[in-house]
Amino acid sequence: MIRKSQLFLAVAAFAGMNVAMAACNTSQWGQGSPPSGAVVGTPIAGDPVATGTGGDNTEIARYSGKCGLGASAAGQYVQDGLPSAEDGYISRFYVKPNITTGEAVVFQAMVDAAPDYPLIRITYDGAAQQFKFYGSNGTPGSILGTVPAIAGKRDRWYAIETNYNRGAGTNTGTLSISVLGNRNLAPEAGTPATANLSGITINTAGQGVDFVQFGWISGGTGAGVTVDAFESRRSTAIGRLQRGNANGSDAVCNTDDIVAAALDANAILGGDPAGLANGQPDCTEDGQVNANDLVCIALIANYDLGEDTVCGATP
Amino acid sequence: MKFKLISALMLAASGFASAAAMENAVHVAEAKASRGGARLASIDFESDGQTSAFQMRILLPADAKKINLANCLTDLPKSFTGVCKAYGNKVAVTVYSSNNSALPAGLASVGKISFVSREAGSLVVDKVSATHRDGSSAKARAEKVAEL
Repeated sequence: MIRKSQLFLAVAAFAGMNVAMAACNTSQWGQGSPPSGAVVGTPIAGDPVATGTGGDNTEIARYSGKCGLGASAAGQYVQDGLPSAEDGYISRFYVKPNITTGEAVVFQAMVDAAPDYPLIRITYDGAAQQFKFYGSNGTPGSILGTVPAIAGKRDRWYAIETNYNRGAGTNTGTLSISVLGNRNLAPEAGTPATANLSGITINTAGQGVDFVQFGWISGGTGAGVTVDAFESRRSTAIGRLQRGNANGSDAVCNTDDIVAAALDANAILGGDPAGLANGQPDCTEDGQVNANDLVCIALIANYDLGEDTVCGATP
Repeated sequence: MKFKLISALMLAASGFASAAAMENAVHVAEAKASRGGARLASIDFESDGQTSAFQMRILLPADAKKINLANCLTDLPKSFTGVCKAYGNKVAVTVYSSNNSALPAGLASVGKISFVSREAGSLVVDKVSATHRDGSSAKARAEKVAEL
């Protein structure tokens, strides 16, 4: 792995420090000095417990670990400036868009030029309940006519994986897209919906991904956009996190994870952020951790026993 | 079927319980096959008193058919539920407490499964695991499958 970006949880927590002391934050964003800094607007890095480790009074759903990033309005997002004219850019992130009308931009891979312009843009169309994928046509701010769309239910977690390659010259860029989420109680890992975009064009030879924006960047109306577990690389696929691996301390789904999810649900109910699980307890991918997730993890753990899968996936 | 599996197993397993106290174990007892090949197995779980979830896999003979899991979990204590499903001749059982309470120490009945098989081999129990209510992994083992 060449490059890895923020998971929204202070690294200290992964290093084994007292979990109660770990705070949700955006400290890993802003590397590489992106234009306008690490955080634009006022997104909240928080946990599912109001007045929890984020010190806020807002319940922020998360997909993995204890923290997620919540945006309640357009113009609230984080930025990573580590990329530098990348000719290849692979990303994986989770998004839960609660958008009802219009298209909310949730991710952009930007070219740092004069003016800056999006090379790749991912939106969520609230009315159509679709993720849409845009590529630059070479004129800064303008996009290609072809816009792949993949269905996605509002206010549910989805993993979005993208792989951009600039290609030769200026107008042979490609983007492959993979979307999977909202699996409810299905024990199988499932097959992602996929799409491709070609002919992505840069304005000037040699340009590439210079910085990325992630959150609720612009457009759309609704209750909010929640994002989590962003990771990026230059090469090799990242892969999705193990759904239902609630404890996050191993690479399997079993009864340990059922109990971890039970403790997590209880911690949310009781307002105890220290009791939150470190893995992926929201097995149903609906933005809440409750009894349904215990059932979901039990189904996956049982499926693994019978089918020799690992968290519903063929090893 | 007129098998009196439960009480027989309870008596047989009480010896195990006292001999290996405070460790989780799965006990599967099987009644002798009828002339038509109908077989019945009873599943019990011996708890260390802190366990709130456990799972196991029971390997039936390769020719097992008419696998009936309707009563696989029916004997569980009230606050416990789970999943019992057949994948070919493998029966996967996962049990957990809906309110994360611990199964009291000692032997608890899980349920019964029935199937038809002409093969003489015993059932095999593997992939046994258990979890304490605090989320920590617990020791668990499969006792030798008893035939009654």
